[in-house]
Amino acid sequence: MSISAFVLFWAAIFTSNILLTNFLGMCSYLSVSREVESSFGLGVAVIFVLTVTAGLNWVAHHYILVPLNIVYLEYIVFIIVIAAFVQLLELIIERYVPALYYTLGIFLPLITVNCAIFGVSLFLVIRNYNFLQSIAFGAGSGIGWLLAILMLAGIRAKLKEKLVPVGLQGAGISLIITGIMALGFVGFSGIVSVQ
Amino acid sequence: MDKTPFTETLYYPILFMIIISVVFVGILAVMFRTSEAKIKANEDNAYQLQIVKLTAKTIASELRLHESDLIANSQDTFKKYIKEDNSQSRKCFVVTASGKELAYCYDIGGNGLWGSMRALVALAPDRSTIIDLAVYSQMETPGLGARIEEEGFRTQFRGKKLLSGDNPTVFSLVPERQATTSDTQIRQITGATITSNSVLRMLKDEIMIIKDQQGTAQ
Amino acid sequence: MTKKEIFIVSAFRENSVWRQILGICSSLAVTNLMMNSLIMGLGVTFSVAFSSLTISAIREYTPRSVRMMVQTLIIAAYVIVVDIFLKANMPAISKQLGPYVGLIITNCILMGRAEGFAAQNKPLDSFIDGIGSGIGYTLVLLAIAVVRELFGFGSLFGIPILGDWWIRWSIMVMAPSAFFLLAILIWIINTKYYKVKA
Repeated sequence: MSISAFVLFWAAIFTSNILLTNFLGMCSYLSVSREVESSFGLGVAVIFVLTVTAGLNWVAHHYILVPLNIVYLEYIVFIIVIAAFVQLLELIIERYVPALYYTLGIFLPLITVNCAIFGVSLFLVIRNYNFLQSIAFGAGSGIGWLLAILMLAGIRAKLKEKLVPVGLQGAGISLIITGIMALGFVGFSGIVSVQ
Repeated sequence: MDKTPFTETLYYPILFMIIISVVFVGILAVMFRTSEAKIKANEDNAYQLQIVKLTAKTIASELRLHESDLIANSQDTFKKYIKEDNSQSRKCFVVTASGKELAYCYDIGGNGLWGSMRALVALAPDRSTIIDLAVYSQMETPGLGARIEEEGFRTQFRGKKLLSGDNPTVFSLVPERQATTSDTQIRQITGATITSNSVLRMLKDEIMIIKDQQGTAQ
Repeated sequence: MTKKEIFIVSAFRENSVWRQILGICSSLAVTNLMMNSLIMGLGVTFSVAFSSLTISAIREYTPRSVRMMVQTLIIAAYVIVVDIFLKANMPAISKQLGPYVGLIITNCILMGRAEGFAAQNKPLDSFIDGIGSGIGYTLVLLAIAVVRELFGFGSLFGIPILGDWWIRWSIMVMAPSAFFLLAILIWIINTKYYKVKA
């Protein structure tokens, strides 16, 4: 592929933002954005997981699945790699940053099924990225996800929740805010080709 | 209940994971291998049916048969009139009837918004006029980009020429609701400009490769 | 809890989408057409019911440290089983479901039910909880899809309802509309069903 890894990195953050353009990674994004600090913590964890698993899964696809002709097991191998890495990360965070561990709660293990992470691994296979492109794409997508969750968390922090109708507080207003941001990001589409 | 110490020892989790992995991957492997032949047969039949559907009308009018009969017995039709031509860089199927080559069906590919796309395009003997076109594999957004597989979009290409002289025709997109006024206008899919453009780009790039192949062959 | 109560709770009172805010990604992608929503909903229901059943059956033997990987493996395996079965025996339906298989595996609902219910409850209860969660999810998808398909395409389940005079609302065809519709749905449910007060 002729796209430079550097361009891909920036494209993944802004013009093809994994969350606001591809709509992946919503569940934890909506719930954790209540607080700016835990959003930041989760976002950093996601960047880490995305970059490493993009690399690992690229290796798994090109050196294990394809040569052994077991591509039908691709989904399982990818998700197991992600699950194993997240489990490892959970153990490390529990030991060294317990405050973050308790704030994130169930959303740390839910990083495993964060569609953004699985989606990035699938994309790099579909779009035939090389190793460097995959790492750049993974890191960029992670930063893009962090950007999106921080934007929402920041807006929610400034939002005078008592002005929002009771039924819309929390998830409802977050969805509307995200919808407006997503509409804005539609303007970016096609600026940089990602494949 | 003193089960916890046992299940939390070092070896048990590893053993457990191995057993579970073997069991489930084993089930999947068995399922896959036994279904592999059937899945391949399904895919081959669908592929051949697609080629037949694109060229049936041409065969029917040449031999004065019914198009619907040809499609209904697609496997026979394929065996009788269609042969794969292995000399080209793109997979090509030659449709022959009453001694004449009626059409060439090429398997072309390109990149869409979400992933690669592949299409079968049936060309007239001038290798420029499109008899029919069908996208058979794509990964675009269902309900948006994926609509390039719909009749309304793909039948627009019938009769259009891919080459103007020696150069690929430059097509332009017009809004879906607008009636087209020229041979080089294509109605896009609303909300799927990128995917619509991807189809045009694929046609432009692939026709040049097909044309160059013919040039060197002659 | 009786079996019936488990079903009602998982489908309505603790609905995965509007209450627990899970399964959102797919709600945005597939709800532009009702047929896609129905197929996705059925696929998810089947997968979550059987994976919950299996995870519950082996919960006594599953070590805590590999719990998540085991759950993930079982969920992925069932979804792929469905995919292979459909490809071999119902190729037309498989073509429709094809791109969604990946989305089912990462659908937070499956992991959420496995972790939140199946890991602590009996197999049959978990199975019913799975069916309930799946049905609840399907209903939400269909509710959003009704609006999106009707105003975005003028049809329902592919059958044209509004005539040619209808100018399609492009916003309904694009994903951001699902955000707004889901927010409205949550608003209505919160006010009428849960009777949330200031």
